[in-house]
Amino acid sequence: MKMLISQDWLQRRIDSDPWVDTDAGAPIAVLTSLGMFIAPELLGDTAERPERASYSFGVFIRQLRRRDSLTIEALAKKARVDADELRQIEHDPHFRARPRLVHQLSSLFKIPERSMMTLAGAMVANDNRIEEAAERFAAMSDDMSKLTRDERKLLNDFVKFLSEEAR
Amino acid sequence: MPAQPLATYKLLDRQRGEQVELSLWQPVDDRHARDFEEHWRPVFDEHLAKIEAEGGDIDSAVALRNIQDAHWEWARKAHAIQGRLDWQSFAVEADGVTQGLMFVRTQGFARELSQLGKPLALIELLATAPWNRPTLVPVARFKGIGRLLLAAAISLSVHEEFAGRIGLHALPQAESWYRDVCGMTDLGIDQTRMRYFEMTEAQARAFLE
Repeated sequence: MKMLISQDWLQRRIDSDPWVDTDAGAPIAVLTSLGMFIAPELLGDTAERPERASYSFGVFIRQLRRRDSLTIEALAKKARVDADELRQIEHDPHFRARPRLVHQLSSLFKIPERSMMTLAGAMVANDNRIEEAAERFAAMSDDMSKLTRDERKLLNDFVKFLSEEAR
Repeated sequence: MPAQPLATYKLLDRQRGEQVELSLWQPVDDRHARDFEEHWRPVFDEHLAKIEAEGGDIDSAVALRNIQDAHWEWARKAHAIQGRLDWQSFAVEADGVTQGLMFVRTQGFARELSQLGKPLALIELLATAPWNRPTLVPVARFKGIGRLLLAAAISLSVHEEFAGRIGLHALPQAESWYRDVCGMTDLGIDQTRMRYFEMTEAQARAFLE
């Protein structure tokens, strides 16, 4: 990330600013009640969990792309995301997709965003159901150029599961 | 923790009367969270004791106590959100001491009509050290910590491809700052019982000019 301000800008602005309090933020208790946090004890500490989830997310995106007969470039253009990031999602289990990219893919494929965020490892769920289902899905998915009938059914069932989980 | 700060800026230390280098760190480290306890809290405690001793007004004491409690809770929460993709944290440091902190969630969605539903960066906490608050000390040390952190949030929003869109809940004493100086849109009091403000893409551009 790059800061978009210069020393000169900061100095000029500060010189003309009134000297007032600038604090912001709702109390944590309120944020918690609105579901902004998951209790730390639910986060778990197994290091390999995010990696497995990322792998499953990569397989899922690849299968959706194949279902719609899209190249990576075509999907990137349609979803208005970076093609290199898509490649990393599909091939690098260490890569963490940014929330904006997950949001774009979730809108394009019409998958509930909450489920997609969990699957991408950008959000922690209260239980492991999505991760476990995703791992089963990834393990059963083959990487052929076109989806077979069984793969298509498997993919559709998983999409249905994610939609139901989000209700 | 990165070895290098994200950026450095020089600001006038009004207590010493000289320019001092401030560094902006991302993410927040344990040492910044510790500063809440070790450096910020005693100043709040001292101020509260003074209000009490002088029979000062209860509302000010309660407001101050609430801010102090909020900081303490965030210090505990900082560790839990480290490494989360949907949270980013920033600390401003001078002379090895934390001067300001900010926690931002990158998974918010805009409410303002012209950008309704578009992704934005939500500032969940923006706090300045008590010695930088003009309402707490006779000569506050650094002016501009809030502006610097707000600029960091806008930079983050641009980095996340949110076009500079940000949102936040202002503390009552900071409402005019966000509305009148920063040019954010006031969307009224929401379910948090605080006033919610949003910055549009055009407002972010104007802020950075």
